Amino acid sequence: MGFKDVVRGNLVEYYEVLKRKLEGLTDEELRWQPDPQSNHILWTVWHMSRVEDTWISTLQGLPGIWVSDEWHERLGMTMDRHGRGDSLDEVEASKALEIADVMEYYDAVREVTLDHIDSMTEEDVDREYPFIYRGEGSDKGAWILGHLMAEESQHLGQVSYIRGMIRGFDG
Amino acid sequence: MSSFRDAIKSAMAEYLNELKQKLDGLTEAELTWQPSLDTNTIIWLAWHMARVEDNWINGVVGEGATIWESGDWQSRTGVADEGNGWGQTMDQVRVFPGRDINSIVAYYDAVREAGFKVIDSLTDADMDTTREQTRNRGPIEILWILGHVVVEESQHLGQIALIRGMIRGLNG
Repeated sequence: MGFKDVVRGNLVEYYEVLKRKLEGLTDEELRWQPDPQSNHILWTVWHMSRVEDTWISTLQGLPGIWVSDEWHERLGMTMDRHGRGDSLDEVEASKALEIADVMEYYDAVREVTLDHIDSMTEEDVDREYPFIYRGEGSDKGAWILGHLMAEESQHLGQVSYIRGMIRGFDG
Repeated sequence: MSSFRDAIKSAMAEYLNELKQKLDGLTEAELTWQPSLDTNTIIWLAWHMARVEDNWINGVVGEGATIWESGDWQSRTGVADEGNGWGQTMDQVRVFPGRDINSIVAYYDAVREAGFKVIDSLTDADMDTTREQTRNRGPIEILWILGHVVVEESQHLGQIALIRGMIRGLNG
């Protein structure tokens, strides 16, 4: 056990909490927006799955299973979609997704994620990884892992908060 | 040293930095706005984030006094509350006495400075040692505490960002 297990534990926790927060939500609740400029839960979950696939595949130097296992086709989207910078029209169009398909994809991503984290060494965390989606440049492994943890849990907090707006306290 | 420790600290640096960005320029009305009767306000969430990190890292893991206690932050923030917000009722959230966001951020900076010293003092071998927590849940591994702090704090930051978005709109 060590700091590596803290990272692993963090990833496991936010995914478990996410699954709890999705429990019992209706199709309508999953697509509800607190205001016309806010994201809905379904979009947020899909984006979380894409974020994790994108960052882990960056660490692997691979295209990610969205592309390599053709998940984008199964979810009816283009290869380049990950949600960052989506327009309000794209957020609206993503209401066509089905949560079961998104979670099937996320489960597949998660399997790759945990295998990769388990295989990472201290040196892997210390080195730089070239950007794959943002032009020229690189990020350090420690930054990528830190960012993955911080970003995913932020989105989880949004899922929880929107659920709270719909269902009320303890809902 | 552990590079994975750097990853944890990087996550913590990121969420505090982003918190400051999301608080930037908000008015008192915006800081205390509730999108619905059952939801938390931005200022309450920011205070709760600081209190959670102080309790877990400086109090429980560091086994010392919290900065809240040692730095007299109750009077400096005007929040005469010994708790950290956990389990508060909606009425308590609505009458939350904190009005000075700058003092809450200053408290958070002090919490963070002390907290990083605690984290830097830990080794890989410390991760499966346990600590007692005041809520009587029995011994908890440091491993779990550090991972949980990042999940919980980032969740609250995400909520602040969402509320800000509801108030200010996209890119607001």
